[in-house]
Amino acid sequence: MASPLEQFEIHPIIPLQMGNVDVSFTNSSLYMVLTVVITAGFVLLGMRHRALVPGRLQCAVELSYEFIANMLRDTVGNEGRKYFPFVFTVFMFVLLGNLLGMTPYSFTFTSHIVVTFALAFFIFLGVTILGFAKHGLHFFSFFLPPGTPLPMWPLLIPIEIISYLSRPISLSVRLFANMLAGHTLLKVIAGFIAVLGVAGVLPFAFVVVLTGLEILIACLQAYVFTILTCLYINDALHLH
Amino acid sequence: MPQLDLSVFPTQLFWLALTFIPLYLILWKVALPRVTEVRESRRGRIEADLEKAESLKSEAEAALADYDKAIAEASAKALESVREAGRKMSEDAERQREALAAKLSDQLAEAEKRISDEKTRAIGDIGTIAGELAQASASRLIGGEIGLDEANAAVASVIRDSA
Repeated sequence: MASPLEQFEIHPIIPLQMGNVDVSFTNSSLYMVLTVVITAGFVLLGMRHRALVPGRLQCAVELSYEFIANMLRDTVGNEGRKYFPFVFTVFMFVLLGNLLGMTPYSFTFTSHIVVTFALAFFIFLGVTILGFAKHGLHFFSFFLPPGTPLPMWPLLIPIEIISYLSRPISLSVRLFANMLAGHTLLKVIAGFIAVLGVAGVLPFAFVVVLTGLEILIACLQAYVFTILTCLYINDALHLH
Repeated sequence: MPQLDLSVFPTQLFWLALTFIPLYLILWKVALPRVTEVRESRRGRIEADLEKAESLKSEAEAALADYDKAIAEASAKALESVREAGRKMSEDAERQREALAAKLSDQLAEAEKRISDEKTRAIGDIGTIAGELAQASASRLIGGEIGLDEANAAVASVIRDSA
């Protein structure tokens, strides 16, 4: 039986070298490209008629648009409109990455910590720069909740700074761990089907149910990742 | 665990950047503006339609008010003309009645006058007839001729005494 972690292995499809760095086109890259093609195709194809009364596909595009726009408006307010394209891209990228990973024999690029951490760190960096650009040095007041009594300062400021710095880690690990655990669990239980023979019906049924749950988690984690991005943008714009 | 294999980090980061950034640019510059544009135009259209509906509604309300006013005016006018006609008719009737009454009283006065004339004449005649009667009956009684003037005077004195 193959290891449950085998599905996370990265195989080069087209070996590429840049200087002495390996930048091969891999199975991971393939699914990233697919994500881009599907997302861009979804929106562009859906909007090709620009119909006043939308068809099914255009309706789906507008629904996702509205979903993200509402999320951004509810968490950030109207100042958040500028960041809508970025937030929308993050959502679609993570969602498609998670959902494409649910296809049998596919690869889930969001199950790799380096990918999720890079995304999270980029967001963290961007949001921090945004905060300093907007508030200058006053941004440091973010680490002191208003109304804190003076004796609490030495305790609270380090806690706030640590919690702020751990944001990219919590954001990336949450997504990565969910994907890793879900896919591993599916694989482990699926491994029992052939081993148990007729009784394999039980793990099979379980895998079916779990697949549904995993699809839910795929959507949920994309949602969580996106709404946290919105909240970070809100913090940077409004401090507290 | 393949996730911790450092040798595959560069390719993943490279392809992440190479896919995420173009996707962002496509969505930001091309795809999402189309969605925004369609939604804006739809909202504009809906607002315009609502505005139009509002103005049509107020127009209809104005027309209804005009109609109500016209109805009220017409009924007031009708009532007025009914009253006018009634007044005219009663005036006519009154006038006719008065004319009739005047005519009747004229006739009555004329008849009374005629009666009194007749009466006066009859009373005048009584003297003459009584004189003639007295002359004739006296002539018969005494067998002589008595003048009409004397008889008349006698009658007149009797009438004067009995009056």
